[in-house]
Amino acid sequence: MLTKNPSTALGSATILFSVGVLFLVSGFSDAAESFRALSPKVFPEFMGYALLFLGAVIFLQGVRSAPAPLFDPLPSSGAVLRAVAFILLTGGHLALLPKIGFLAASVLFMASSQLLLGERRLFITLLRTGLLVFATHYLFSTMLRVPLPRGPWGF
Amino acid sequence: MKFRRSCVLLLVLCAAVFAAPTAGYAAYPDRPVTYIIGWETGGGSDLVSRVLCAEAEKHLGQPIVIVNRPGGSGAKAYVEISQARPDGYTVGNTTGTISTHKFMGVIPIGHEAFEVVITFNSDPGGLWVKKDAPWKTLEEFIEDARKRPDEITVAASNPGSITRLGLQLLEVKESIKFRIASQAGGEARGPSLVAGGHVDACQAAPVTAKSLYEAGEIRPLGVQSEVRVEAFPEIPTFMEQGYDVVMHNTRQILAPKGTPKEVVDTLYRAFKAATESETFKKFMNESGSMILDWDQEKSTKFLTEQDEQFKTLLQQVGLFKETK
Amino acid sequence: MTLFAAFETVFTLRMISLIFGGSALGIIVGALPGLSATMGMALMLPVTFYMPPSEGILMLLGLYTGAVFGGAYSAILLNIPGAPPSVMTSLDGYPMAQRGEAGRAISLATVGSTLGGIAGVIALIIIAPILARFALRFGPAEYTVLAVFGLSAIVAVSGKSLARGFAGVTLGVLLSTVGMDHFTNVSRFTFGSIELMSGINFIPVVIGLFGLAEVIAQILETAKEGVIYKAVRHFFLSKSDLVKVIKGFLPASLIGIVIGVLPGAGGTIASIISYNQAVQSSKEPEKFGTGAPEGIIASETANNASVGGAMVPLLTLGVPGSSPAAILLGALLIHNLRPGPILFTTQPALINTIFAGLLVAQFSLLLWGFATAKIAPRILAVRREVMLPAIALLCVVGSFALKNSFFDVGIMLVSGVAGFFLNKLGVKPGTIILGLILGPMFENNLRSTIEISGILPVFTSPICIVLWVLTAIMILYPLCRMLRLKKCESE
Repeated sequence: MLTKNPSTALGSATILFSVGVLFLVSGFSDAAESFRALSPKVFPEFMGYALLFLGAVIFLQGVRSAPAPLFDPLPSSGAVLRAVAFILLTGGHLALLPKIGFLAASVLFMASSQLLLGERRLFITLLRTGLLVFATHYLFSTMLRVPLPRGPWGF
Repeated sequence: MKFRRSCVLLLVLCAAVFAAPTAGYAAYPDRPVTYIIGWETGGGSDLVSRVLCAEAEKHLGQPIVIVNRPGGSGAKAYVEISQARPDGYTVGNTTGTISTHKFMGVIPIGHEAFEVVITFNSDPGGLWVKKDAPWKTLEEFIEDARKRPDEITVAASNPGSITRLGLQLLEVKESIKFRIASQAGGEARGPSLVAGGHVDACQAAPVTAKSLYEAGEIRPLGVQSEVRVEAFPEIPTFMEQGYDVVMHNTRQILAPKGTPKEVVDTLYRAFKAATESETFKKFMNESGSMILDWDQEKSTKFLTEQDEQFKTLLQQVGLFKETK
Repeated sequence: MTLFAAFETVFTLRMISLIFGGSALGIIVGALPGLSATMGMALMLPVTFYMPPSEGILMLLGLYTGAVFGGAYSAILLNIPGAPPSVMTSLDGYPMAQRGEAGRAISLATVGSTLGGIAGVIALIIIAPILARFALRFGPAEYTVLAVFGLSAIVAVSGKSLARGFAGVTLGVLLSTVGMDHFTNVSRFTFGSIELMSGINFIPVVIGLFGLAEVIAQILETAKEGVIYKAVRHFFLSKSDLVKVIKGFLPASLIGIVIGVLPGAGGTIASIISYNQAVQSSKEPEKFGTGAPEGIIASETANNASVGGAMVPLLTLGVPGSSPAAILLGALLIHNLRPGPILFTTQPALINTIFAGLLVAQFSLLLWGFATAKIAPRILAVRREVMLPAIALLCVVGSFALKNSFFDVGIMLVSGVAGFFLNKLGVKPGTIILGLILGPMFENNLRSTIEISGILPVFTSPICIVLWVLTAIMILYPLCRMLRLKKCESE
């Protein structure tokens, strides 16, 4: 029932989410000073209820319409795996940035993600990786003076 | 063959990655220094610091790379600086919030967690009204507030901010009550709101209000400093007019605790020289801001006193939070 | 020195190269996601210390102009608005590029930006004092209703389902409440994290929702590798496109100028309102979001017009109308110049030079825009095995560069994944961004109004009433049209 079609799925997810929001809002402390202005709870609470209402509307829309697949067209399992792996790689890149610095982490990321997406030629991959990572580093770190994370070895 | 080429390239890549800017162990400073500003790009603290750093670079001999880390009126930046390596390559600046955050439970640290390099700037608070407002003097304003508690609207910044504390200090000392309206975004909007007639008055440093003041839209009732501000000799102080209200927003430069004394001294010399530069003086003069150059000892002493003063004040206005 | 004489000063090789050079740098800064005009100008600020004030200011003005325009490049080519004012440009620019008409999109953005920018400068020169007075009359009550007016763009960016549109906006507004509340220091949704205390910055969210989500979608789209790029067809604008530009120019510029004048509202909000206006006044509103040239025109014209607008309060009152204008204020202060009525009387030459230089800067957009309109789309010819990782890298670096924060990159990542799913389920990223940008403006100003005087002014102030009427029109007009269509269909 919940995944009958995109609307029911979205609707139920929204309802769940807004319930969570309202729960969190109830935990906000009331302001220490007395303020004429709206308490900080009011606005998020209102939004939480609005979202709850909208979630119900969307859910009902879904109930009233025909069943439909959630993802249309359904991607192949290979593509899904690739997408998940890519996301994990990006997450890994983020995780490694503070530890080994921009240059090392980005080289790893660029090389591995290109290979993941289907590049077969190792040489070209590494070449592109080197060019792109160093160009980015130069652009940001040197030209634009935006410091990029350094690894334990100083760069 | 292809595989061999790839291996070679991989080796070259590794070599390049490892041979790129390397850390040396030469004399301080031998590489760029990072300067963390806990406020938005383009804001008051940001501009002052950028001008200061641009000048200090020359005396330091290495570039100073500025990083904006806004969040919680400096809270995020303070935490980050305190956790950085005490090697002199990470510094940052403060405003008065270094003395208020720990008493309000925002962050658990205060100036004791740092080596204070220099105090370079001070801005007193001030009270401003519209050019054609009915109150001609500070006294008239305060007496009117006494007669009509909670009616005169004054724009100030968020609770715990120096701006607001200055106003609340006046309230406490004179036992009057204003209708204080907070502004998201700090005190910068205050003068515009006064000029547009949306609030009766605003609490703002002369720096913030100078533009509209010179444009003739607003006028000051007084400044909250011990002596008249050099850039605004015509504005009387609160003390002159009989009200013992002094509130400053000072800016210091911090380094993590444990930074070697020689490094702190080097930094102090560079930034002190920067405060004496023509460019910085012109900028501060035109802004209407006061230049200071207190060294570590004087700054630390000042901050300890400021801590006490703010702690008492925060307790009086009910913002003090017991820290565990 | 009259304005014409000022042009003489500006048309020297040095000045022109400073303006055009600043503009080029600005375009690069604007095109890179995560970098904004403010950041670029802050970086170049020290360079201006030792230049004569007119040169320094003109270079910064070139940067500002270029940066506001530059965001269009990544919006069109990568679906990532390079700078906040270009958020609306990606809604129609990217689909147009996907059709193979990236060059046309860039050309449209170029011409729109130039014309809007010129309109902004002319407004600055002629009616600055009047506009400044107008800006002062905007208090918290007026900003509240302005936010509501901006939010009426819900209808325009919702796509098919209005319920999902509202849900997206509500989500965006909720996200904007995360952090320490300004008024009471109460922490909302921060889970004890000091990072969340300062709120969720909307640039990493934009980069994630638009950029990373699209990358994920692309990976899922085809099982095999292939090229995204199609042959560039249109380059210079066709006659019908030019007509569209002329038609869209006036309302978009007006909106851009007026919004730009207001401190606290800049190119981003101008482009939102302008886009909404274009959708509502069009005879075929369904085309928007699929690559309608009017969308690009509305967005880009308005955001560049806001540059001239932001200069109005800066020069007349010394109050910056936007963050980049604040940097300009700093640049002036360093040279012992304080903008305001005094500057107009003591330094008329400088003021006129600023006017002339800003006008010339707009034309620099034409040069750079057309020069790159044919080459820039080539970036789409890059194979996706490289393209997608490169975009992901750019997303990461861009989100990081903003505040030197790993946390922001994390936000970008989460927004990207969540945004992908939400988009698939029908919640458009534009709606979330709308809520995220306008939510704070609404809530903070509403609470400010109530603190000052209770809620009444929101309904009684003359400016507010005008804005309410406009909002009503923006919402009721499309509703009427929908009803009329349903009636026609049933007959």
